[in-house]
Amino acid sequence: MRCSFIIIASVSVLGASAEPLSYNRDIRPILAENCFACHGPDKAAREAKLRLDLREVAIKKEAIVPGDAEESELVFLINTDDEDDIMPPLDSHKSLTAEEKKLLAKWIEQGADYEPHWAYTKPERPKVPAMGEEHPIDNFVLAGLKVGGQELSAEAERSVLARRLSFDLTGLPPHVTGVADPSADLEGLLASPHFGERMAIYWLDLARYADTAGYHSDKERDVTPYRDYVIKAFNENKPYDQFIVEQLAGDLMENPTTEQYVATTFNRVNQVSEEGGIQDKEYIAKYYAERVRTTSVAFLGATMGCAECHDHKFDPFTTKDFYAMEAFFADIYEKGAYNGDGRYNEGADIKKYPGFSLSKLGPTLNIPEPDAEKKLARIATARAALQARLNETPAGFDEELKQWTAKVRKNLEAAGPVDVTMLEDDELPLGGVQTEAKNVHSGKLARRQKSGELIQHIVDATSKPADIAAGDQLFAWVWLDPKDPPKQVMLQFNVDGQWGHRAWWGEDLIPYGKGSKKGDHYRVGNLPELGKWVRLEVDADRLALPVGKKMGSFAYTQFGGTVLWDSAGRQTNAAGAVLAGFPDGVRQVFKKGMKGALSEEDRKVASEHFRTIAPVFKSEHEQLAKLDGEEKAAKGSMRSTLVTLSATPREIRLLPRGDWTDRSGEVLQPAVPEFLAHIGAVEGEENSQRLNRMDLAKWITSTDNPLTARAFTNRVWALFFGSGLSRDLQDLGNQGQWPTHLALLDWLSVEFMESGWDVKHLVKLIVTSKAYRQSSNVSGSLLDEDPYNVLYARQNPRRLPAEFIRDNALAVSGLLNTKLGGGNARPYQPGGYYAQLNFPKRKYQQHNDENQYRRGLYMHWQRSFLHPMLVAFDAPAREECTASRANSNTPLQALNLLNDPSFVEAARVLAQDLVAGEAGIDSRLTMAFERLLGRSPTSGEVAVLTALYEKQLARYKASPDEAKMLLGVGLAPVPAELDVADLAATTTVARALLNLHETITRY
Amino acid sequence: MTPEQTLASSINRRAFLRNSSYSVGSAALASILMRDLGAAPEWNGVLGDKLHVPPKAKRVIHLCMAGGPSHLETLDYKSELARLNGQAMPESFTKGQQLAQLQGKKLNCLGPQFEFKPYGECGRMMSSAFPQIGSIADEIAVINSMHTEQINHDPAHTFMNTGSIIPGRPSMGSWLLYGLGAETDELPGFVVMTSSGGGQDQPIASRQWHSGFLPSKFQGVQFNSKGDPVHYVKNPPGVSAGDQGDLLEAVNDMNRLLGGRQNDPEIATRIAQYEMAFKMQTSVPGLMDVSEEPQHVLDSYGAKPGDGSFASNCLLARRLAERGVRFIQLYHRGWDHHGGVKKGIQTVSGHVDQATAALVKDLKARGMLEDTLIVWGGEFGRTPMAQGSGRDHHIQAFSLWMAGAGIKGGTTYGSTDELGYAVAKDGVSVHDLHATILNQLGIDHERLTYKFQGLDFKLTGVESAKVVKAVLG
Repeated sequence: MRCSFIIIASVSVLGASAEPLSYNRDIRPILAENCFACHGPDKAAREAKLRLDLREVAIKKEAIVPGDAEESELVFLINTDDEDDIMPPLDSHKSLTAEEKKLLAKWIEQGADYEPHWAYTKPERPKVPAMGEEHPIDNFVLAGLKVGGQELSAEAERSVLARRLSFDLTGLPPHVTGVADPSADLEGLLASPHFGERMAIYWLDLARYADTAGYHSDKERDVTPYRDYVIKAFNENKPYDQFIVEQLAGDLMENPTTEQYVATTFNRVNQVSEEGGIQDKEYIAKYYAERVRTTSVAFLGATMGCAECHDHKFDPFTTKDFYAMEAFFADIYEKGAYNGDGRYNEGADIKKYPGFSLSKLGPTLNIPEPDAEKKLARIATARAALQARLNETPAGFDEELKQWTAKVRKNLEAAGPVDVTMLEDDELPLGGVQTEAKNVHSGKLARRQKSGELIQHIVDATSKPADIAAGDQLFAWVWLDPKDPPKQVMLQFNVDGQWGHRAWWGEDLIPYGKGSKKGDHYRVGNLPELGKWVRLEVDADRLALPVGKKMGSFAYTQFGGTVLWDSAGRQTNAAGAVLAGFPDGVRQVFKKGMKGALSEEDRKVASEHFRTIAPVFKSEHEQLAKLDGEEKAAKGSMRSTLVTLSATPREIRLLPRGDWTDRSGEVLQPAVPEFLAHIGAVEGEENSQRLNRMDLAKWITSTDNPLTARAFTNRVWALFFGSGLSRDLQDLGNQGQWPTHLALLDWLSVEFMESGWDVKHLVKLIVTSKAYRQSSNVSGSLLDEDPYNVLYARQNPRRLPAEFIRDNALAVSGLLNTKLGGGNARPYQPGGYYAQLNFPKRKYQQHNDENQYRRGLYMHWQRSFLHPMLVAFDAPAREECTASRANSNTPLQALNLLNDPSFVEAARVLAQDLVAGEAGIDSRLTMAFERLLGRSPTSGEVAVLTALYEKQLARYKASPDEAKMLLGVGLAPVPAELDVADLAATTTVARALLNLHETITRY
Repeated sequence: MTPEQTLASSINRRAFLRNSSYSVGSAALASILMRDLGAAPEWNGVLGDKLHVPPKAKRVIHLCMAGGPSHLETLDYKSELARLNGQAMPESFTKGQQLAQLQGKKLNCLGPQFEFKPYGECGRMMSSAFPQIGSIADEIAVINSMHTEQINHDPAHTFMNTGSIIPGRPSMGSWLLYGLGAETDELPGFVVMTSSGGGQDQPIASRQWHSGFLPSKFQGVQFNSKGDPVHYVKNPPGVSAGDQGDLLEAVNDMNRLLGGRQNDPEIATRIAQYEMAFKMQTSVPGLMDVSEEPQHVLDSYGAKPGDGSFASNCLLARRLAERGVRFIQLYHRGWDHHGGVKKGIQTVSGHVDQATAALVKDLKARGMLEDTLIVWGGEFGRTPMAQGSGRDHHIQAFSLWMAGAGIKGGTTYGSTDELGYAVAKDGVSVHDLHATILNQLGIDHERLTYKFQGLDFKLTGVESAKVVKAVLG
């Protein structure tokens, strides 16, 4: 195998073997790896009642006799030859090296001192080592380097530095950021709106932000305002503590702003399920557990996930801590099964939360686009003026009212049965394949429904629900295919969320309500005649439909065969039809009697309503209707997001082994992990009030919390160096990594907190250091001495993240649309990629406008089938919180850059610029290299690419049709004036450039 | 030492030794090291040739019958259930149990919808709805005592594939690539194909073949039956194979020039990956082009080239196996029979029965069955209770079978109670199944581990799992 691995020894830079051993640095990693699984915090797995993570227990059990290795049972058992006794046991497949055995013995000889885990004690600001540098970071890094006699590497070349800073701070190549010289203008880069986009790409991985629900049918949902909130927060440099509080508990702040509600989408972008038949409680349990996992990793750099089923084996998190943490989220207004069966929290009622609505996936907030907001305000003003005029009583009004009253009375007297259609063509929620346009009963369309077995289509008619009146009859028009007749047809009606109102014809095969002979399963008769439009009819009272209730949806159901379904509704007594649309009060007025003058009070009621239809107000009504249309249009450009609202907390029990059906565990109140409970706002709460998410957020953001600042600082460092000061970005706990530069990590963490959690300050500190600005291109002894760059005596080269690779290609070609925020972008995607999705079936609709060219950050994030380009370049599906992406190098990446139309088109459009701007290939290459790589090509490079160009030019001159095929990839128009063969050959060169390792790497 | 450590020390012993005097958590070392694994151009597995037990299988073909096949209409013969057809399900079976759509409904027994007959020399009772699978009765070992933990499709598949319901864990195929590598450098080592027909097509998420926390080069690659078989494997329009070759050569030349100036080991890897990509552009269409197969072979599977059927996928599975692919997974999405289980089984049998048997026979005729492990089964079973004319999801008991690679044909292992509701004897968990599969590939499931979030993760989870020795020859 080729040796392209990096070996990293987690070197303690200030440690040397002559010094006294440190438990944390030298001993604990050995014990954690080999011993704690059976002799650690997990009581269920503990053997021989021995704990080696607690000094007093280890001493009491004589495993350790401080100062006397010979007498220590531990030393005996790790050195014995007896296969039955040796520790770790053979069947654990763990073993200690001779070096490790020696270290353990030496440590016991030195007194076996324990230390608390570094990440669980509050960071104190260490003294900056006096190494003669100005920048604190450089002094810390140099202090580590001096041990090995090393120096920092030289500063990177200006062009390399410009590209590094530009990508690291904005995710874009230098020339599109609007900053003339990125290596000199840091403030410009930090002030760029693209800074927020860049940071959001990382944060959205942690927040597991995606555009679809995740489980099963993985349907789309709108949560994009949250993504924009994150971008804005970083751009406005929102203090990090406030950023956390808003996301976890924005709804619990005093008079929350819209923005603070949007922030709470964080708690609601977890994966949810709409699968039929799932158990509400099972999924609620899944959601809570996921939130604990995400909250602990995202904010604390702690992995509490294991504690769902058993006490953590390596960290002091207990199962009780896990479920007590769940209890903080128990108040979130939500349900488990979003399939119609699930229940919201007890007593939850969206009406109690003005301004919010209940969408299919729970509490939702509509967010007008900024320009829509202005429009809506203007419409509201205009409407108020018109309505004021409607309150006047112009000449002729009284006469018109009199005539109208008489007419209504006359119609009521002559009333007979009349059809009220609930479903018409333009309301049919029809997919293209199911539409029938040739054979219809009325209108332009019918629904074609075909199946080998049970098939059902639910029609949502909540926009004009039927008020069931006494004597009503329900109807639906059907056409049964004589060549493929169904065995059974059924109409189902829904009142108050209940489907127990069914009429059926034919054989008894559909399972719904089967066995009953009541209104929930009423057989009307045999199948109607085949091959002609027939009106299915059934009396509403046969189906036990309660008079006075509103029926909001119904379903077309059949077993087998092919059926066309068309309009449906109810036949009602015309009195009802005459009064339809009248407010209840006006109906009462007319029901009182048909003769005589109206009383003063009745007249007031009637005229109130008549104002809305009176001919004398015709002009006002027309203008109001126009405003309604404008308002609808303005609201159409409105986005919405799922938000956190607080409702009655559900009961949270400790679930033994994570089993949601086991209700034997104790009921738990919200509490922070016990071993860290002494810190922050939670300490000493005298009142017995139940803690809530705000308490959790305050505990997390307390400057006494040892984890929060360290976790974030470590990750920000990794964004700019490619690796964290503690290398495991997920976990700062016992199984994480001893930091290579603990003092530096602590200094930065304290600095970060004391600066007021100022993110831009932290970033600026890092990128102004010499350490950051070093060259990544070194050779010789440095690579040998420190192959994994744990000492930071150079920069790390890094392949760009998936989104940057796309953005770069679009940017250098000039295609990039730099619009900030907004809805999702759908670039080209292979056809049929969503074929495995169902309920409903889906077809990807790419954007054919400027949205085609938006940044990768805005790409539609389909969890179960993420865009192949994002997958190939290691973007996570965001089903779970992700703190670090893999960084792979695969043939699928090559295929992507070579053949994905997004890249082929970018190459062609880049070539257009080159061909239009420069005549010879030499100068074109110079121009392209400057734009892509910020440097001039070498003579060797010119030779390779010129040869490619010339061969391609000859080839495309001979077959211009093929050249045109290549140029036809993508939506961007091809300028007619350019020579086709020249452009195609230059496109090939541009494709080569976009595929270069250097192009997708930041050095 | 763990495999990662072995690897670490063998790769760069010098650096390792030098730095070890500073004291290293060896676990720490391994996990950082592995993060960079994705970059290796060639990969022969973390185990290499140091397998834990003598291997029987070189590769696995998992025929995943997605939707939850009814064990009562396929492999688990229950005469008592036939007798109680239409009568109330005895409450002793179901009290306090988790059901899916039948929760809270009246429960009646639904007798097996097909006759069961003895098949093969072993005389195992099997459903007459699958006569062709019956014809290989002596090749297969049936397990009638499977049970699982998840009652809905998506989590149940996730559990079957990754041993966990938490997203982000590696699937079986990824574990195998991590442990063993593949025997091809022209095709991905883990290939997935899907087909449908026979019932409601349950969605299948790509997380089912994801590499989770393992490097992404170990993830499964889905081959599509329509359009490009692999995303972006086809050249852009107007670009010939020669053009693409010239382009790739130029890219690699440029990268070599860069490698001469810039110290970055990823450059060499990138060059190797472009070479493999170019090979894939030829080998993948070659693989998918079955025109070279004789008509009688196509007929034996019932495959029509390019129809995307399960039969065509079975034929392609054989071709993938021949080319050294390690893990081949075929999903057939037609087994979710809440209503009309009889009709549904008939339809789905038309899709899978012949092709499944043909694959086993074809591999045997080519001498490949002895080192190819075939696993046939779904994510859970179905209730003995009726749901209309169908059956609901069921996790207490279900059936599957294995064949080839050291599996003792003709065996039947484990049993359910008289109604097929719960396991009565020799229960086999999903983790036991995983342990058995790994065992056939020469791997002790306890020892193929990967350090993530500070823990040694393995396919078989934290609970103990056992190899089902009784089905091994």
